[in-house]
Amino acid sequence: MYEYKSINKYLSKNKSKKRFSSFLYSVFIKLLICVLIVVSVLIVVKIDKKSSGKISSFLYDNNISFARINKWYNEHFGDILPFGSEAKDSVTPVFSESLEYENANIYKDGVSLSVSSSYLVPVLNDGIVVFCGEKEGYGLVVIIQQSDGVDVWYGNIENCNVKLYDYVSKGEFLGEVNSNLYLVFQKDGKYLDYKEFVS
Amino acid sequence: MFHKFYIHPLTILLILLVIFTGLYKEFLIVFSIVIIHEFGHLFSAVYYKWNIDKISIYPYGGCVSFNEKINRPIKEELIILVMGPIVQIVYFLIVYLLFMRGFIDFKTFGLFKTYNFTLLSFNLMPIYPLDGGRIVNVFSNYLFSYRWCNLIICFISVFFIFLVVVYSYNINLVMMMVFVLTEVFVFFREQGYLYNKFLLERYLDDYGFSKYKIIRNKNGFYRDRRHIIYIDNEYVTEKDYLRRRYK
Repeated sequence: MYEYKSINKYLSKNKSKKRFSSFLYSVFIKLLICVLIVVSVLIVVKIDKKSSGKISSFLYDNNISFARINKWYNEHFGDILPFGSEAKDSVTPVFSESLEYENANIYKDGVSLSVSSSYLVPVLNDGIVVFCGEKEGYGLVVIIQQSDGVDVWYGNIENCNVKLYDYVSKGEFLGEVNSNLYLVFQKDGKYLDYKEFVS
Repeated sequence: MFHKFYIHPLTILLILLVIFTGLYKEFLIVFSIVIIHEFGHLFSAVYYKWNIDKISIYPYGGCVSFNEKINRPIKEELIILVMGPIVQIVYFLIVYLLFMRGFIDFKTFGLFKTYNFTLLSFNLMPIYPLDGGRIVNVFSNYLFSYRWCNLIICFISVFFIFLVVVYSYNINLVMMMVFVLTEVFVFFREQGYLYNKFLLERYLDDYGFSKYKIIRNKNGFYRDRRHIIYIDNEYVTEKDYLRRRYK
């Protein structure tokens, strides 16, 4: 009986030591591979000016179309995270379905809508917030990437209610606007006519 | 401690999907709930000095597996299993307090609430490797013999897996259920080995269980009980029976 116990103890001690060292070793190898990849990319960027331009444009000008992939996956395979649709339904209060404005003028790449002071802006269509910050000439801008592939910029927002990478649904409260709301519609880098989207 | 964490390939698939769909906040909420739930099991196991084999992280929750004797008290195992959900509820209450103080906005709290509730209810389903199934399995040891308990939980698990697969339209959930089904199958297949281990432990170590049980079937040993076995028209004590069996 005694022998059995001591042998078991000895085995378990030895095992845990071995396991920990192999864990450290695997972490070290992974770290090494990461460093190698980073260094090789840096070398390529330094040497070849053309490819560096390509890489930077790929990184900075493109957005992964999160909303489109998510919609496609949900239609074919169901929710990605456990019970995602239930979670989404419980947190999206709808308050207004359409925009109300007096007149529309062309402004820069999009349109400027004159609205009442401290107007509450609803989200036009389902999507994900991919940008939230200042842009020159537009004030505080929220960019929502819709599931049909169109990026909508909501400019001149004052009290922003959404955060980066929030999934928003149609009619949700986006933010407050004082007298002028700028909208820009963009798809694959081209600017679209606002009349298709704003009635 | 951290080398004992094992991330299942299904979780890595989920992380890839999350990267391409931008569900970062949702994922962080789910992952924090899963990890904190596992720490509930972990700390209670460390408190009772159980030998932890590994902690696996699955997309819908974790699983702590032990390298421990089967004859440990039922009460300890039950407490270790129940502590996970309890810690998860405590975590929810802490976040609720933060929400009431205004540190967390309405939308995040709504997501957190529903994910917490759905993960908890998923984890408490009576399917074997999930917490609910293991609680049912361990608790039924108070009523039935060790072998019966394991067989019962296998049948209940298969029934509930069937229900989940039929009533859900979700490929992630179905993949998870296929994985769980293989776990149940492996558990079912190694019953003979487990029962032999159960008896061998009793033969090698002295367990001073206070309650006696008279059984007629030599394969009907109970957990947490000392036995008197009725074979061939005579009563034999457990020690004698085991000595005869292993010598």
